[in-house]
Amino acid sequence: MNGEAGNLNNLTVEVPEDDAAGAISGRVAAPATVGGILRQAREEQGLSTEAVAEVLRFSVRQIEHIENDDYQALPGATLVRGFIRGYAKFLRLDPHALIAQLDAAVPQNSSDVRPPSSIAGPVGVSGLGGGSVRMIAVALVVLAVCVFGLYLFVEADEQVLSQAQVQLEQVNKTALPAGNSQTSAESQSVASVNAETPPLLAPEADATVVALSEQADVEPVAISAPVVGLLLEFDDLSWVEARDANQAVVLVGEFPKGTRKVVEGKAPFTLWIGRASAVRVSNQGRVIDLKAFTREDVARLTVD
Amino acid sequence: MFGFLRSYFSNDLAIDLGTANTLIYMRGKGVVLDEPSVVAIRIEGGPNAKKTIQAVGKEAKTMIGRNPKEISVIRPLKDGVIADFTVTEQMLKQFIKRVHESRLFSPSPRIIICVPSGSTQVERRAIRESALGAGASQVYLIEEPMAAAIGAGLPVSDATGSMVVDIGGGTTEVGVISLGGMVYANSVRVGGDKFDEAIISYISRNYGMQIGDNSAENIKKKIGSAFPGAEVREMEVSGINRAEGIPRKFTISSNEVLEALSEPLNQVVKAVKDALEKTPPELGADIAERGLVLTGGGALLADLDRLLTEETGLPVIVADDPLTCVARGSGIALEKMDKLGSIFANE
Repeated sequence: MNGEAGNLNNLTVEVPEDDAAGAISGRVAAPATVGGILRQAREEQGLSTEAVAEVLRFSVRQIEHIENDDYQALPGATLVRGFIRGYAKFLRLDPHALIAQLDAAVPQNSSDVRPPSSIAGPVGVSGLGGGSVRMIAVALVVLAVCVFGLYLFVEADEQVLSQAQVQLEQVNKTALPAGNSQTSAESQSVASVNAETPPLLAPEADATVVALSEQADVEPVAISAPVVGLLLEFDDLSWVEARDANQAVVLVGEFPKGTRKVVEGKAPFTLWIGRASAVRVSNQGRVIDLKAFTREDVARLTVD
Repeated sequence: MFGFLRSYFSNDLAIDLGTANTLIYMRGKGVVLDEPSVVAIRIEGGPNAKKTIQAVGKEAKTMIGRNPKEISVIRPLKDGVIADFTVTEQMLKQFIKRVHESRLFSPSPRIIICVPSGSTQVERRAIRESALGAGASQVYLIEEPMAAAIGAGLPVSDATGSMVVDIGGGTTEVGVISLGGMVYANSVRVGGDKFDEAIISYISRNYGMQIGDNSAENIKKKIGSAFPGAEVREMEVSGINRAEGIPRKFTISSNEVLEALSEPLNQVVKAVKDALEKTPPELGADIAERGLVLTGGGALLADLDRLLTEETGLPVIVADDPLTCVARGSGIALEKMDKLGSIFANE
């Protein structure tokens, strides 16, 4: 590489391109690349790469890489640009023009700043960082979903309540003649309605029960005899678990369509019905609407 | 209470609060402000003497040395740290307001701000407090050599040593960085200001002339150099002859400026040599291969790279756009601040 300096002293003669860059093909054609320009300027001033290395303190190897435009062999764009700038200044060339030409040829990389790979996960920023803003957004969404769910639940409850009130009115109609005004209209749930009504109903006719079950939007059930205790009727295959007041399992298992099961034991019963849509529950002959206790077709309820 | 909302509407900022210049980098926009760190304050007369800010930045800088006694022109930072807390806070507030377009919310950005690596806890706290006082919702500190290295494009996260020499207005910071942390950092209170002072005292001593700060800075920028060059340049300067008390003109050459600058330059060279001495050998080998990188306004002093090359025997390269390296580096840190913890400095 240094050997060609002798040839190039006589620059009017066409020099065959003999190096990797192939940049120099004669005086008239200006070298195309940054490295070529630097090499030409150095050789015109009669300097060797060793002499340049002596001043700039870069190694001869690095200077050769620059002159061959072999930027991959040099560590990083910052070094390449700084080196070219220093080299150009030393050769009294315009560094800006060379850097501009370099920009066109080699994209400038920005500093790659990243957390050390050995550290797992991002480092938390105390207080309200961008992460916490995201957290707040998620929290707001969750809150909104909860509020909506609560609203639906309350509305469903109100439906049950109004149904219960309708039932109560009917009960009152039948019960009042008996002179019993125990049924306060302010009953809170079906369960409590069930708890209070049986004593009233007991002396009365079955007709009321039938009327009530019609009111509850359930197929009328013909009840031939007064039913005591908790009755489960299966319209389709369903799984059921029932526990009595002592939490002892009194009924458990899968029951096919058409089964009628009477749960016996000490009230209140805890019921867990795997397929609420397929099961009708009645307590002391009063039908319990499972819809209020059902989530995803699984009903959980306590019956007094 | 609504600080987090306001900060949501504000753009995060990285601030290079320098002795000479303050630069602000806005997230997603780049360097949006570059002004001298100068404030002109008008002190009104009367019994309740009120102080109002007359000008900030470039406008205030032109007033240096030309002010009547009602206006005091202050450079609130000295040697890289805050010398006048209240004025710094006001200056920052003005600058932050200037870069914020939104008028609906008063700006309350998160701010990354640079501190000299050698600054004390008290000085760092003062910088943090003044940024909070200027309206920041949160303040993160980053040491200047780290910011400069990131801005210069050095591979700070790699397991290779990088050495950066940041010559600012008030301080010279030398840092050796590897694996995202500072292996060695030192800061000496020598910078552009000390160069100017050296020129002023040289002219006073040798010519019996008094010149102003701005003239000294002009001399340094035009004909100042750190290494004897082939050509000698000259410049005409005017000042006040102390013996006669009359303004006079005289000519000063680049060799004389070089002589004037030799003392502060020696301190810079000493700081660099100290750093090299204390660098572990593995990193030293990397630096010998890659060279040390000059950033900051001082890197623009002609042939400073040459001086350091001669003194250390190592390759020295000047970073791209050295004046904005620290601001750009802090800006890059800002863009990735949620992922980076180790590069930020503690108080």
